Amino acid sequence: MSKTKKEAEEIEIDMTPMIDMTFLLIIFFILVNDMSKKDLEELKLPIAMEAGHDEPPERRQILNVRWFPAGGVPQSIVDQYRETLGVDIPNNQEWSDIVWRGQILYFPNIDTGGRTDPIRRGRPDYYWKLAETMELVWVPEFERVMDEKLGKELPDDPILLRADRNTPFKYLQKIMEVCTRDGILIWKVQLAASEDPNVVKAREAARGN
Amino acid sequence: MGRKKKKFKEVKTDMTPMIDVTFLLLIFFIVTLKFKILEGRLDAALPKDRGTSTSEAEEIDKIDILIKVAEPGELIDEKGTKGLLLYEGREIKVQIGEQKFRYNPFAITNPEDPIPELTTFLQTLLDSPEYSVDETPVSLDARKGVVYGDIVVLLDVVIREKFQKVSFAGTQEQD
Repeated sequence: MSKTKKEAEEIEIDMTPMIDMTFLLIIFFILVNDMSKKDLEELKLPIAMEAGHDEPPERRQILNVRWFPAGGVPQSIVDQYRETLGVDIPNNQEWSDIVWRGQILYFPNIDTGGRTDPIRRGRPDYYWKLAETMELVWVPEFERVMDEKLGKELPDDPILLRADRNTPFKYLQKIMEVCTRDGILIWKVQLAASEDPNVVKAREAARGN
Repeated sequence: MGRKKKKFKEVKTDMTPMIDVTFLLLIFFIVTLKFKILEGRLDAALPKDRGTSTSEAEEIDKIDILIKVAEPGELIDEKGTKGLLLYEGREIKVQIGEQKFRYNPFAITNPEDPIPELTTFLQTLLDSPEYSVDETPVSLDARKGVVYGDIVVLLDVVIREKFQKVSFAGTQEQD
């Protein structure tokens, strides 16, 4: 009995360096992993040379506009609608939605519940959920600044719009229209673009010097 | 000697569960890893005098840029671009007053200066004293069929000329 124990002891290896390494790796991945990217849907942004490097302001909100041509909605999106909203995406029409922090704030078949558009009176308000989120969640948190010319306070924080490069601009115009509604009046808008890879390289080279 | 060893063995803890958990954590972080995406932004504004305000429009020189689709082009699903859809043969018409420019946003040969004629035109405008980058408002008015990529190319040109007051005019789609 004691003999076998001794033998087992001999082949025992010291785990400490391995555990040290593993912890180091974990810490590395925690640091590198950018959790703030959860606000950003995967989109193919257009390239712009002048796109200022984005260091996000504190209270900025991000809206992702997704767009798919008729019949081109990926299965993952179809599943997302079924699971979260219980809605089936029709296959015969183009599809666009607005995503904020993983929540869908607008899609073409949204239930308006009889709400009407305050700017174009009489029309159903498909953007009520977006407008409500802006008015009740964003604007109260935004910094406010007095506009001398207009004689009223306006929100002073921006929103960032992200969209695929082939998204029809009317969907972004719609968001802008919602921004100008009473009680919201957000006027700072940023458009997301990917930085030109060559520009990034040049900037990094300049920083290195 | 044998006794000493036995005593030492008693305080030894079993490392296996900890290593298991550590590895699980490690695998979790590797799998969820998303490297920082290089993203930039272009700043613009919306007209402030909407809603119920009754401010009057000021009479100042401004640059109204009208963007229309001349040739919509064909949406093609290029293989190897990860489902990225591109327009083939697209042409956009830009109008500033009487001046007209055309470009294809999906076939820009020189990204440093995507629409050279427009750049030159804006620069000649800025040479005259009525226009300045700090004061002259530039408004972009996108019409039917214009896509996000078209606008960003144009906005890029305007921002390169250092215009400070860039806004979007039409917040409703018009023909």
